[in-house]
Amino acid sequence: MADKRSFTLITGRTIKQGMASVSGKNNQNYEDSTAYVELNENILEEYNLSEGKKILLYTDSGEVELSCKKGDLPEEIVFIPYGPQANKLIGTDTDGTGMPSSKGKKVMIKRKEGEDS
Amino acid sequence: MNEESKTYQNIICTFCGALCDDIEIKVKNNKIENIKNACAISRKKYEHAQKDRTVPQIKGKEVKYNKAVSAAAEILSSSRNPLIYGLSSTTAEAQKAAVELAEKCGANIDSTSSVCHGPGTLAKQLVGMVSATLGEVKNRSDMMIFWGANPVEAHPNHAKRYSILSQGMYRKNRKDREIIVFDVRKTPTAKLADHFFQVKPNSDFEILMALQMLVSGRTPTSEDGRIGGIELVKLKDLAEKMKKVKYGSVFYGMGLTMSRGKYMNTWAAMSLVRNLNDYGRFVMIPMRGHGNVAGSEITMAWQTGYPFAVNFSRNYPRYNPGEFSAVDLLARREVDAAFIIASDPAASLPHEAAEYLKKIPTIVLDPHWNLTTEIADVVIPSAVKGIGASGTVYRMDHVPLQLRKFLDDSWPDDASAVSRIGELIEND
Ligand code: SF4
Repeated sequence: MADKRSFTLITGRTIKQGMASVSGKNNQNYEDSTAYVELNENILEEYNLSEGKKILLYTDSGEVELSCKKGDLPEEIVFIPYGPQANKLIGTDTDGTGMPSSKGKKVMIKRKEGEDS
Repeated sequence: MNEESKTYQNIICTFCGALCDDIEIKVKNNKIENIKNACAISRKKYEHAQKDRTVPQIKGKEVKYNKAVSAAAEILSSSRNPLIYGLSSTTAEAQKAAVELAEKCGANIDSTSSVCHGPGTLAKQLVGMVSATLGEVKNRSDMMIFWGANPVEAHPNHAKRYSILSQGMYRKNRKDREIIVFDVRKTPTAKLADHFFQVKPNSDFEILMALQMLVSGRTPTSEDGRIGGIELVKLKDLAEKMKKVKYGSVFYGMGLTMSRGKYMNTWAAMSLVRNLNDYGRFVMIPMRGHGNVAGSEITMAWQTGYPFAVNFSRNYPRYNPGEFSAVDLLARREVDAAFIIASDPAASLPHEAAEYLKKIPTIVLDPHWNLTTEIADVVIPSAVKGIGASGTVYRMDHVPLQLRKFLDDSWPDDASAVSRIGELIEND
C-alpha cells in the first residue's frame, strides 16, 4: 500500500543505543538498538501493522526498511534511534551550517507487500 | 604474578559531556574488577574498555604499529585536500596535535561538533551566551528548563549529579526546583518534569520568539490560540514565571540544533535568556554529547581562532561551516583523504557523506573497532582515554578536568600518534 501521507522523522538517543554503542559497534546489540522505528499506536493500526513487522521508510534522500515498535509519540512523528539506519534517510544538505537536518525531516512510510498484520 | 587489588577514586567517565568525576574503579592484574557510581552507559563502557581492541592494519592486514603510522603520514602528505575529523572523544592534547598536523598538511579540520552543538556555537558568535558552571546551577537554580534535551537517556547521571535530583547548597532537592521540558515527544526526561510543553516539530523558533515577546510585555497573535502547538495562555504563564524566578537555567540539546532553523533556534534561546537577566539570573548550558566535544571547540578556537570547520589550504586558518564542515566536504567530494580521530562517521554521518569515505584513502585512529574501521585503509590503535591514557578534557560547562590513567595499555595515546604522523610529514 503506497501512501502519500507524510510524517516527521525525529532521530535521537535512547539508553539502549547508548549502552550498545560503547559495547562494540559490530555487536548484534548495536544493530538491534538502532534498526527499528517507533510509531504511534493508531498509525500502526491504520497501516495494519503490529510490532516487529517491517515497513519501508523513504525521504528525498534515501530509504530504509525497519521493523516497527509502538512509541509514546504524536501521530505525525516517527522516531528512529541515531545510527547507520536512521542516517540512510538523512540528507547531506546542511543549509550552510555543517549540520544535516537530523530532526524534523519529512518522511513517508509504506507497508511492505506480503507483510501480514 | 598475582597482584593485590587497588581501588581508584574520583575517576572521570569520558563518555558524555557530563564527565562525572566520582567513578570508583577496583583494579587487579591490570583488569577492571569492580565499578561504582557509573550510570548504565558508563558501566558498559568500562566493561568493554579492554575488549574489541584495534590492532595496526593496512588494507585489512595486520602490520607493525610504526608501519601503520608511516602509511598514515604518506597518505596525508600526498593528499591535495585532506580532512581531519572527529576529535570529540579524545584529549585536548591530541586535539592540539591534530590542529598542528592540519596546518602542516594544509588540511580541513572539523570535529563532530559540526553535527551536534555546532549551530549553538554559531549562535554564540552572534549573540553571546550567559552561562555558568554545573555546580552553580545545581546549588542555585530554582527553575530548570530542558529544551530538546533528554539527559535521562543521553546523560543518565546528569539529573542526579547536577540538575533535577541533585542535592545543592541552596536548592536541596527536587521540590526546591521547578522542572520544565520542551520537546516534540514525551521523553523519559519529560516524564520527570512539573510541566511538559509538547512542541510541534520544527516550531522551536516561533515558540522562543513568542516567549521573548511575552517577557517584554507584548502578546503575539495566533488564530487558533496556539504557537508551535502550545497554548498561548500557557506560554504567557511561563513567561511571567520566568521573570519571577531567582535563578533560571536552560539546558539545551539537539532538539534545537538539528531542527529547522538550526542556529537561529539557539540564537532565539540565547537572546531570550539574555533578556531574562533584566529580571533575575538566567543561564544556559549545552548538553554536550561526547566526552570532550566541548574541548574540541575550545582547543580549536585557542589554536586557530575558530571552533570547528577550519581550512588550512592557504597556510592560514579560514573558517566556514557549510563549506569546511565534514558533511559538506564529503557530500561534495572535495576531499581526497580522511584522517578520522576517535570517532565513527560511518555510523553517525548521513549515509551519502559516510559512503564517500570508502572512495578515498581513510585512516582511523581509535582504540576500538567500529563501523569506520571496517572501511578504513589504515587503522592505528590507541590507548583508551581516561583508562589507559591521561590528558585534559572539558566538561559541557567548559570546566577542564585532568584524566588519570589507571591501567597499562598496549598502545601509545592519540596525542603521540598524531604528533608522530606530523613529525614524519615534516621530516619527509
Ligand atoms: S552521565 Fe555521562 S559522564 Fe556521567 S557516568 Fe554517565 S555516561 Fe559517564
